[in-house]
Formats: sequence, structure tokens, C-alpha cells
Amino acid sequence: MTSLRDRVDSLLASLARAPELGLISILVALTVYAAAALPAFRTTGNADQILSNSTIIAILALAETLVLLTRQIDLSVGAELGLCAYLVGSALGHVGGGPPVAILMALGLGAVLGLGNALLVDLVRMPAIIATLATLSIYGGLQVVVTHGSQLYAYQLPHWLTTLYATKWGPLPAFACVALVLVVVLTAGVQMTRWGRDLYAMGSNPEAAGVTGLPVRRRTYEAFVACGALSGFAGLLYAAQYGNVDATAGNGIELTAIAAAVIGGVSLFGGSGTPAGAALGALLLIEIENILAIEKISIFAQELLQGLAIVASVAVYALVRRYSQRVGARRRRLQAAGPLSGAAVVEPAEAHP
Amino acid sequence: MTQTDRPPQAQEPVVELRDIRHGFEGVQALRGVGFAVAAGEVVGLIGENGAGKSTLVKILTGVLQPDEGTLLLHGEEVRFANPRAARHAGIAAMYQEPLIFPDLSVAENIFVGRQPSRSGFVDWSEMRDEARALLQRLGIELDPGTPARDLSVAERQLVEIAKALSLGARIVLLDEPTAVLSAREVDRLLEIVRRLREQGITLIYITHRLDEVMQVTDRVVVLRDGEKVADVRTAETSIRELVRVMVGQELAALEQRRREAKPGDDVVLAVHGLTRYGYFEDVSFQVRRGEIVGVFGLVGAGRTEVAQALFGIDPIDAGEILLDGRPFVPRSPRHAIRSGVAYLPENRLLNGLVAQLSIRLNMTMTIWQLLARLGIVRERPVDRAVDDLAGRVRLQRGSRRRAASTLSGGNQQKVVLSKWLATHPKVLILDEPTHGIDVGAKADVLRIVLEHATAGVAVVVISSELEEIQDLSDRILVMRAGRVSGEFVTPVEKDDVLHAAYGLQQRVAAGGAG
Repeated sequence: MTSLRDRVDSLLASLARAPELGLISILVALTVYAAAALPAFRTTGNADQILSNSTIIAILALAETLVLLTRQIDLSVGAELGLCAYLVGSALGHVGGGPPVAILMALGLGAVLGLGNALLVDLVRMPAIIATLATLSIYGGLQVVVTHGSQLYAYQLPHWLTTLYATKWGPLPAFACVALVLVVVLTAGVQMTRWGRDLYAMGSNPEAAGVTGLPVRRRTYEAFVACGALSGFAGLLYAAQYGNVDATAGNGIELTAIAAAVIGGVSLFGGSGTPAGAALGALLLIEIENILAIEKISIFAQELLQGLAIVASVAVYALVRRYSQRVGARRRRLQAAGPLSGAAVVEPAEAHP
Repeated sequence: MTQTDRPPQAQEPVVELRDIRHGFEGVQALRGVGFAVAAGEVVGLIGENGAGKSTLVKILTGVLQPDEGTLLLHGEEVRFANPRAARHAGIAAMYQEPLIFPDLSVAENIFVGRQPSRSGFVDWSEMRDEARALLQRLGIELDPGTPARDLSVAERQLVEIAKALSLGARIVLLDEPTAVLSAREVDRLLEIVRRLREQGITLIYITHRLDEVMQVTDRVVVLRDGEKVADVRTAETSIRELVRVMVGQELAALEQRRREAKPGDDVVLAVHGLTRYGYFEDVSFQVRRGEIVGVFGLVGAGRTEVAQALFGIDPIDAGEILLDGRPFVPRSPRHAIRSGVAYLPENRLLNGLVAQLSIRLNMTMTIWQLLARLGIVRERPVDRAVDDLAGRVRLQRGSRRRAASTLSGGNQQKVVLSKWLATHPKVLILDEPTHGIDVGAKADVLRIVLEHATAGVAVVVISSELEEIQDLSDRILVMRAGRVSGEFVTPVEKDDVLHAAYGLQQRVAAGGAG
């Protein structure tokens, strides 16, 4: 006897547990609508472009997710990306090197920058939002210093890197494949290993994590370092995508990345959200951007819409969660009344006003 | 009441404390406490606030280290440097508000940090199965997959217990677990406590609620002022006895002293035919100097209304009040106070306490005028009055400038009581003075009543707790449906009083006064 209410309850409950499902439905609906309404949207080239353009934001959102899960935040991912894009790019330009060297350099440099954040958070005991606001300026300033106001041009970069953006691996653009691999790896990492579960636990209740004896400090370092490394890697892709890297590369991109993660269901209060969700959030933002560009709607309206998307998604998550909690409470009441029915009404615990 | 096939004393103690002492900042929280707990024994640890229970819990769980004394585990001396050491030794504590991970499932909350894994990956189905088995063994009906966010406080406590046991805890401390639970949830928790006991888990149960102690423990240890004052088998004691022990011989001595002082013959308060139509009619009684008169009756019998009329809150339609033999027509609470009548209202949060105001202002608001000079309330006399009153009611230590709302229920009641004691009343009317406060505060209130009666104050105690009134009063006045339906000199049979309160045989719920 599944009533409509039960069905709605279970739908919302699964939505509360896996917000990615809701996000996918929105993406599908938007894509179907845009494909029907806009001929320019329908082309394969456009689809590839959406996927490729989402990749950098998606990787930054993935990086951010690792830190957000632990109830920290990293505002410096954009600066990390910019600095790594320039330094790794010019290093490759000077000494050359294949993909393994490039990837190792990007990850390594990013990891060092992430370690800086972790040290400020752990040793100096700065709140992450302040520490990474500071490193956003510091790394951004370093970027200006090392670039001397000049820029890196595509011809200075190795050929394999500058052609990567347009390369397709099978049916998918190479960029999208890279993003997909990272989503899979990180999903396995956070969902299926104790390491990842520790991140969730820390963000869910930091005090309890400490009392339970989880390696909280170590995981904090690891989260920031991994976030930095991924941001560095995103920097390498940035150089590949744009060819030109200057002192402003990556400016402001951290906010888009955080927005993508939040839209994807990653909580700023830690403990919930998934890498897949964050990546889908990035995809949604870029797809909206793409549609607006086809419709020739101003870039300012795009920002407005991005803001509205954040508000809407956060509100929906909050509502769904509250609803599922109410369902939980109702289930409890029913259970409580079940075996012992006939007795007095359950009084709520004496609460202080 | 509990089927014991093994006398706990016969076994070697699992935990033994010897002469544990601990102090902070010059305050000696524990002054040489020692007791032993056998395997599978449930020991209740009770005492007033500040008796040292929390300090003891912290020492047992490695949060604090004793200044002196030894802790023995299975006969061997141990010293816990930190909570982890205690946990390793198999001691777990469960607090009122357990620390859970709201985003993780019940199963993962139990196994967090040590999830069953296969080649590096968490084995979710294995974890869920293990959790289910564990919960089943404890008789906890919870789906291991439920997000902990959706659990009630009671369920979170159960998860915490399951977690402790899966971590190998053999000794579980429950620190006032039931203060935040509903009656049904308390029953469930007690059921689980019994089940743990059957499985050989040793439990130390800290609570303010003596009925739970009687229900579930094998033995009770009572702490007072950092010392152990009793260590008795539960079957051989009673709630009354425990209360007496908790507050020491003090109450008994006070009662004794008061008996010797013998209430005087001069009537302080005399009420003749007092009537307020629709609320109470033809109420007559007398209270002598130093006498305690209990007023019993069902809710709505008119007890509170009479008190409010005496205090000038409600009007009087007919009848006469004599105060010290002179006619007294209470015009307002202010007038009543000035005439020497004080009234502690029934609901302290509604009528007694200005919760946002500081403790010291709450305590002295009835005497601001006396403390003021030229209309300005001076600091030092207020402080002196507050210190004096706080000592008399034994208010919890701490700043007196905090908001009164930060205090526990019992201490709030003491603050309200102080306010009335500050007026040096001739007649003290207390409306449900011990309702909803912990045992220690309750005892303090009783002590204050006895002390004031001994000092010659005429006391009227309105209460729904018959035993309390029986113990405390010289005479009991029973009200029913707005009228005095009986008057008894103590000692009196409980049934007689109840008959008068219910009106012969018919059990009228809440007499039709209002």
C-alpha cells in the first residue's frame, strides 16, 4: 500500500541522499530544451565545447570538494591555478618535457602551494577562510612578480600541450576524459576508502572526529595538499586551453569553482556532497553559460544567473533535507507508537525555552 | 526486583577507586573517594550538583588525572594519561548529548575510522551486517543505513553505546543520559542497560533521577561535597533514604531541632471564610509561628488561587484575613510584601524569574528600595546581600552577573526563593517549590523551609507531592473543587489525604474549580 505520500517521501529521501540525481535531471531537461529550441546548440562541436570548457572548473570544484568536505575552504585555488599555469608552462617552454613530467610538475607545485595553506590552518591556527584569502593574495602576487607583467604565449609551449584541447579520445574530447577519470578516482577515494570517510567524518562533526581518534590534523594537511595539487593540474590544462598565460590567469575562478561544488550538493558546512556532484555542478554552470552565449545574452546576465542558480540550489538542498528529517521524525513517531500503542502519548523531552 | 544469579560482591572488582582526590583552583572536588565495581554490576552514582560526580567521570575516562589516589582495573593499578588510554583499557563514557556524525549512517557512525575494508576499500555490506548484528544483540531497533541526522537524541545515545561496545568497552559510564529523554525513551534506555548487564558489561549510571536508580542499579554510591557518604545495595534502600543521605543527616537534624523548638501558639496568619466566587469558597485555616502547613489537592482545586489572593494578586469577594491578629486586606503584591507575606509562585519561568536579568538583580529585586540610597541602588550592599542569600540557599558557584537563564532549573528556583527570603517574611507561601528540580536542589529547598520555620516563620507549602508534604508539614490542608475538604495533623495515612482530595470514592479528575 504505497500511497502517493510514501512515494514522494521515498523520492525526496533518495534525493536528500543523492542530490546528483536531481542535478542530472535538471541537466537533461535543460539539454533537451536547448537542443529543441536552439539549432546552434545541437551541433557536436558545441557539445564538445561545453564538455571541454567545463573541465577546468570541474577539476577545481573537485579540488575544492576535498577541502569543503572537511568543513574547511580554499579560496586560493584560482591563484594556485594561475601560478602553476605560468610556472609549469614556462618551465616546459624552457626545458621541454612530455606529459608525465608536465603532470608531475603541476601536481608537485600545486601540492607545495596547498601545503602552505595547510600550515597556516594547522600551525598558525588561522581559520581556513582567512588563511586562504591571504594565500590568494600571496600566490596571486607571486604570479604578478614571476610574470613581470609579461605573458606566456602558445608558441612557447610544447606542441602536445597546445593541441590537447582540440584532441578527441574516442567519442569524447580529451579534456572531458581527463575530468571523467578524476571524478572516478576521487569518487572511489572519498566514498570507498577510510581516508575519504575520515574527510566526511571530520566535516560532519569536527569535535567528534577528534574524540573518536581520527587523524584529523593529518587529513587536514592531505586535503589541502590534494586540493593544491589538483589546482596545479588544472593550471596545466589552463595553459593547454588558452595558450596565453599572464598575471591575471585564474583570477576569480575560485568563486566559480566553489559555486559549482555548492550547486553540486557539496555543503559548505562539511560532511556532505560528492565529487560527481561537484563536477556536474560545473557542467551545469558552463552549459547555462553556453546557452546564454548562443542566445547572445550579456555576460552580466550570466553572472546574475549564476548567482541565482547558487541560491536556488542551496535552498532546494536545505528544503529537501529538512523534509527528509521530518519524514524521519514521523517514522520514529510511528515506530514508537507501534509496538506499545494504547499507552499515553509520547511527551517530548523537557526542553528549555 | 533484578534477578541476580551471582552476588556482585563475590566477584573480583573490575574497577576500583582508592582514595581519589582532585581539586582545581583551590576547590577540592574530590576528597578521597573510593569504591569498587564488580563485573556486570550496575552502580548508580548520585549526588547533588557539585558533589564531584562529573570530576569522577572525567578521571575514569582519562580526561582528568587524580591528584592523589589509585585507580585499579582488574586488580592492576592504572593511570590514564588521556581519553584514548582509558578507551584502550575498555572504559567508555556516554554523555547526554552524544557526539555523532550527522552525515554518516548509523553503521558508519559505529565503525568510523575502522570501517571493515577489503583491499583498501570499505566493505559497505560487511559493515552494515556487522552493525545490524551488533544493534540486534543490544535490542536496538535501528536501520544501520539511516543517516544519523535523522535520529532522535535517544537513538543517538544508543548508537553511541553500540559504538563503545564494538570498540571493546567493558565498562560503560552513562552520564545523566535521561535528562533529555522522554518517559518512553527512558524506559527503552533502562531496558538496554539491563541487557548490557546480562552480557556482563559493567555500568556506572550517573543520574539525578532516583526512580531510575531504584529501577536499574544493583548498588548506589552517594557523593556529597566530594566525599562518598553512602554505598548501599539498591534493594536495601529507598528513594526517601537516598535523599536523606544525599543531603546528609542535615535534614533529619533540622527536623529534630524544629520539633524541639515546637511551633508557638501565636497565630500569624488566620483566614476565615475566604471566598473568590468561581475559584474558591469559604476557605478557613490558621498558621502558627514556626509552623509548616502543607496544602494538598489536585490541579485546579483552588490552591494556587488562594495563595494568589493572600498575596494580593487576585481580588477577594468575601472573608477575612488576620495577620498577627490584625485585619489584613492585601491590595497588591507590593502591599503584601511590605506586610510580611512572601509568595513563591508555581511556575518560576513564567512568574518568578526574569530570565534575561542577571542572577544578582533577580535575587535582590524585592529589596532594591532598601538597598538604595536616594533612589540609587548601590553596588556594595547588593553584593553583600547576594553573597548572604547565595550562601543561605547554597547557590551554585560562579559569577552572579550572568543571566539567570544560564542556571539549571534547581538553581533558578534557588534564585527565585532568595528573592523572597530577602524580604524577611513573616509568612512564606511556597507554590510547588520542588517541582521539576533535581534532587540536590530539592533537598536544599526543604532545608530552607525547615530553617525558616525553626526561625519562627509561618510556612505554607503547596505541593502535589504527597510524600513530601507528609514529611515536611505539621498539618495538611486538603482542597477539593475550591473548598477545604480535609485537615490532618501529621503523621497521617496517605489514603486519608487522597480520599479528601478526590472527594470520597468518586475519582474526579481535576475538580471543577476553574
